[in-house]
Amino acid sequence: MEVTVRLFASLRRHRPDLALGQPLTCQLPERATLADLIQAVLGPLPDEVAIMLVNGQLQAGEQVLSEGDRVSLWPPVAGGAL
Amino acid sequence: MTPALPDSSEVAIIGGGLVGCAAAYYLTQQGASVVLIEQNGVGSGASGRSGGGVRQSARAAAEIPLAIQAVALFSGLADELGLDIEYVQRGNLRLVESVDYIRPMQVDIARQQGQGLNVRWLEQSEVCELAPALQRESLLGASFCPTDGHANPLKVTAGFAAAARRRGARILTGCSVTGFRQLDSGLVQLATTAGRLRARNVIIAAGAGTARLCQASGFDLPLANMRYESLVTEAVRPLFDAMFGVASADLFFRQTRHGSVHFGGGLVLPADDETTTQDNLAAAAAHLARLVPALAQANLVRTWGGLDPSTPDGIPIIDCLGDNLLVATGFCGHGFALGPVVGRLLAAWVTRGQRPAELAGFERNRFAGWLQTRWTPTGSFEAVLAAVATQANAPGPNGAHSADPAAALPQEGDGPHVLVIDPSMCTGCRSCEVACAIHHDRVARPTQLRIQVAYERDDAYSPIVCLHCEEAYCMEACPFEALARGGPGSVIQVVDKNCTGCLLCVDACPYGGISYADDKGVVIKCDLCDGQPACAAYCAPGAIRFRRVDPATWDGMKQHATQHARLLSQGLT
Amino acid sequence: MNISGYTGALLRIDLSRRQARREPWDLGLAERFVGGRGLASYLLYREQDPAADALGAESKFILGTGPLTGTGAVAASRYVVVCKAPLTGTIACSNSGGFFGPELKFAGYDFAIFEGRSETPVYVWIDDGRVEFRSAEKLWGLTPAATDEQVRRETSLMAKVACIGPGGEKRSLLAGVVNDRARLAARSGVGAVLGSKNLKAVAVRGAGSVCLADPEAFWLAALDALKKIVNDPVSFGSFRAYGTASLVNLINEMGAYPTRNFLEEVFAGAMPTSGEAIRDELLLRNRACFACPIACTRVTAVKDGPYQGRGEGPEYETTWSFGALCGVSDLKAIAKAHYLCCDYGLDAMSAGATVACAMELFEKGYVPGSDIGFALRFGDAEAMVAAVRLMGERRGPFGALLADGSYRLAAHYGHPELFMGVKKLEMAAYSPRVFQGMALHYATSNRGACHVRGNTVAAELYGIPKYVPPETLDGKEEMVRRPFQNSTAFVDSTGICLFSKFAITHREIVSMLAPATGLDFTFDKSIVQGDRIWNLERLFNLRAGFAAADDTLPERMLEPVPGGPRAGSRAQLHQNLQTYYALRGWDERGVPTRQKLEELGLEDTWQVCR
Ligand SMILES: Cc1cc2nc3c(=O)[nH]c(=O)nc-3n(C[C@H](O)[C@H](O)[C@H](O)COP(=O)(O)OP(=O)(O)OC[C@H]3O[C@@H](n4cnc5c(N)ncnc54)[C@H](O)[C@@H]3O)c2cc1C
Ligand code: SF4
Repeated sequence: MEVTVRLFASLRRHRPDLALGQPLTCQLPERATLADLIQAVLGPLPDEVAIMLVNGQLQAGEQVLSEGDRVSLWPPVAGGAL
Repeated sequence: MTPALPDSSEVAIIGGGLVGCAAAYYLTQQGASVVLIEQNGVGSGASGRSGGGVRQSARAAAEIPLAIQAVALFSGLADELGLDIEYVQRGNLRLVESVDYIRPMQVDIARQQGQGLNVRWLEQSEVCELAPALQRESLLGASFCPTDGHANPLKVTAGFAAAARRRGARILTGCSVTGFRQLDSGLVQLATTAGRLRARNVIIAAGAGTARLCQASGFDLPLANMRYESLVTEAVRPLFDAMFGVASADLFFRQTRHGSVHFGGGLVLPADDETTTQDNLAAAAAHLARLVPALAQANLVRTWGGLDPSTPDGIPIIDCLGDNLLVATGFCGHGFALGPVVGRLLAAWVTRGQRPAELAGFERNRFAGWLQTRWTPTGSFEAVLAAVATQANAPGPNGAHSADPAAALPQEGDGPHVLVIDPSMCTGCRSCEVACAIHHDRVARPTQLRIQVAYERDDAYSPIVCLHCEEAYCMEACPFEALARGGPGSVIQVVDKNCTGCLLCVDACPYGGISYADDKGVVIKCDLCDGQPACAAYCAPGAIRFRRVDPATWDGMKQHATQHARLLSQGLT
Repeated sequence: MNISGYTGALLRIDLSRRQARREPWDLGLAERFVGGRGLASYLLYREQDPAADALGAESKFILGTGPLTGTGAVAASRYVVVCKAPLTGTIACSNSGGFFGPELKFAGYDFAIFEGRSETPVYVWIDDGRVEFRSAEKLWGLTPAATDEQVRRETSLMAKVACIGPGGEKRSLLAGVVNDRARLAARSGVGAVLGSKNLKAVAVRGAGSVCLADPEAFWLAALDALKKIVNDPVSFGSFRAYGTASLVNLINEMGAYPTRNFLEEVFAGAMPTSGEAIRDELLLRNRACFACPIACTRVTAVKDGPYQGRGEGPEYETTWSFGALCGVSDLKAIAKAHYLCCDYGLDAMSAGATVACAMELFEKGYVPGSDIGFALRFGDAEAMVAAVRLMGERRGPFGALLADGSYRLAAHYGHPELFMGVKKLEMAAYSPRVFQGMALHYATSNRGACHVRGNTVAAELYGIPKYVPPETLDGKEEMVRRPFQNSTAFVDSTGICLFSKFAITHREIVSMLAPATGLDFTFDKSIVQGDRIWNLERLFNLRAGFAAADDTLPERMLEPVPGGPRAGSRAQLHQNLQTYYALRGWDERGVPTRQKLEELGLEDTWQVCR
């Protein structure tokens, strides 16, 4: 199946060839999870990814992906205040 | 007698200093009708108070071509003005008293030679041959430019004024200009304490009064007035005939024709009056006596202070503020030599209506960013960002970070451990200052510090702290053995009971590494906290690291500290 | 006894009579209201009738520091500005970092209270123990940066300056107080109060010290807190590299990024206005406030073109307010609008939101183009910047309307429903239609719809302290109340910056506070202190005439999100509100019960005012 992934903030440095917001298209076996995708794109860097959106919804690594999903990844980021 | 203020004039000049008087003279030479307005008397500003040095050497690159022309002009000036201006062309020596200045000085000499200036390095022995009155031991060498020299500044200024008057210039004294305005007609209107005047061309050469005058008229120039304090001794036997300056201090001196030694220093910035301070005068006198033992017993005859405006980059602003409205200011304490040639070029600018090529590079728009917010980007920033980016996800900053006190412990090996500063990493937070105060004084306090952050601009800052030099000026300077090595490594510590608070060490240290605590009555300085410096432990970005230092880094730090120590003394924190 | 942490003194400055007096304040108040926001609010409550006119001569203006300000505790650089808010009529407490607050401490004062009104423009020069009133005639009209420069030339280069810009001089209700050239205590219109008093600037220079009761213990606690911050990937990573604007893409992708005056929640043009783009295109260098390891300040510049300028920021909120909210995706124009706000001394969040509101009014035909002088459409960068200029200069009747915020603007044209805020204060860049915690918080916050009194997005997105999905309603009442609203009230009272809280908690803060002051600050007490301060502010607002009806959201937020990943979601405020009141110990009208007041020791306070 085919999904797209975009990297934000400091994750961008792993793929300097991509422009800001440029999606990367990935071929994955059926029933692959979000964690599998991250492994495929960034290698073994699980700690660096903190926030994962699939089609705009927050998801965890176990989430099973489906055809055409749009994935966006962030390191820990925050703003505003607490 | 002062003539009355006319309603109009072809050219009006504001300020009867050297620049104004010279411009008046050269304009009248071209047949222009000139009114010069001076608030006090001719030469009452910096020009009459000047050290009188006519030097080309040790100037910024932008000034050297002008200065070379200036010296050519000075050679014929006595004839031109019909007055003996006591011009002596026997060279300028810029003395080097500390090893740390040798290399920078030699690099600087090469730069000046590259600009076609006849200047060279003199070894200690050569200096003493040229000027036997100097104390050999205090010196390591000097830069020497044989075509430099000195003259009597009051005579030069008064000479130009008299010559201009002879050619028909009207010089009004005791009249102050309070504002100017450009009229739609193209004329410039001056408001003065004696009424109004309209002129086709105006030259502002008001020295220390320039910033205020321009501001009142809607022009904000990045100027701050600086003060030099000067002294003159009674006449003594002939000692030397060159002009002298000192590389690591503000001191300058020369012997006048009738034998008195005219010297000064004690730069204060910003300053707004011409008073003198006991501390500065005493420091200048002590320094001179050390350099010229023959003067140790000489009586001082008179002291005075003088103001000259300075600019952020140390070279003047010579520019037009609008059509027919010229300004020449910001000579930063070395405009005496340039005064006549700048006056001549201003006159040419007025008569030809076009900026002379020689004056390119002195425009005020070079401060465009400065004027707004004083921020200029620095080259090193990308490095900082790269470092931050790689740190962003590796938990914590890089391994050498010392928030963990154990990490600040000296590494194995010999060689001195000092606080190694990386200004590009500093964020200007002043945590180091508080950490140090808490550690030593048990309170948080912004003054009387052993480490201090100097702010050069709003985007350039770094801490200044003792470098624990192997050959330490402070220790050499102290007559009372109040500074001693002790503790681990080569730590220089203050022996409180021996310190008399004489401040000789503070003056001797070019790096701003030692200061005086008036509540304690003794000097204070970094003692490296018994091998666990609090500042390094509390510096989050890792701008301060406690580690062994190699000679190259040390040299770099010394140069950096020398520049920044000046900022501290100017209060720009 | 040696007073530690605090200086124990306040400076009372009577501008009408040009007199200044140093007074001790009752240290017994320290354990009740901590300092900063809490104590200054208490002083205001005690000294000023909450119902009085915010811009009247009898209004007071308080600058306050926290007990940790200037001690060297991590990120303890803050001072607060407390007064009655001219924009909202609520209590105002805006705070700011930099170096001004610590300097006030070093000069020997925890607080400075300004009273009365000067006949002519004046500035106050506090040189340690000496106070001078100086003419500000020549400073009138200057930008904050120019004022800073000039005042320091006239006083001491080492002085730290807080001042107002032309916005405050003209008493614009969006005006803030600017310190250290470019840092703003921005919200609620506090700058207009200084304008109404003819007080252009306050310059301080202090050479004294802040004592520490137990320096050794303090130092160890400070080092521990420092270590936590530098080991935190947000505080020491993303804040330095991207600032808060790293959120732009995230919140937008989530579909919670208010766009075109909250008509939509996704902005197609967000990418070029994001933190990544700011870093690539504008950033020059990071700077720190006093004793702050985070160094989030971002020195930026637009190097050329029509929007050339320099300054600090924009941050998440302002790249949003001038960006998505106005439909603008030209980063340079956004930066320019942000710099202009700093030059005028205006709150850039409310300024952007007001322009956005004006755009909707214009597009709907509610404002005739002739009132504005040009077409003010969503997405028009040039028009957006032009509107900010109108606002800053208060040019013409429309400029004056803009300068007083979107509530008055929308009401003036008969469409108050287009005002996107609460209690006359504009909302921030987190949609309450998506984040239910924010919905409840905006509605109940004591200074109107502000995000820094209880930013529940931390829990609802980054999972700090614990992840709770944004749409969940259950338990949001307690979450809003305690770990956010009350906690913020406590932290703001210590002098520590809220940004430190991504890495440290009340525990680290009290472990610095106790040895700094020698007082018995504990974790448990801090919880009560936060609650007490929140309730005190509520009392002020009740006395000022606010009621439960004001704890609400704009109609539009109660309607479903039109599209994007969160289509259909809407604020469910009314399902939470009464439970929240009950948890707070308030009756159904939102008034604290006698029992609650007794529990917090505020009974007398409430009575006194009656
Ligand atoms: C102590 C000292 C030592 C120095 N040593 C040297 C040296 O060794 N070598 C060197 O090259 N340079 C030296 N300089 C610098 C040099 O003297 C000055 O740069 C130079 O004289 C400046 O000339 P000026 O005409 O611009 O200013 P000034 O001589 O200051 O003249 C400006 C005049 O304008 C008048 N004025 C100001 N405002 C108004 C107004 N509103 N209306 C009317 N009149 C006004 C003032 O009264 C003053 O007379 C020294 C300066 C000082 C103070
Ligand atoms: S603690 Fe470090 S970053 Fe902060 S001012 Fe000192 S050297 Fe600079």
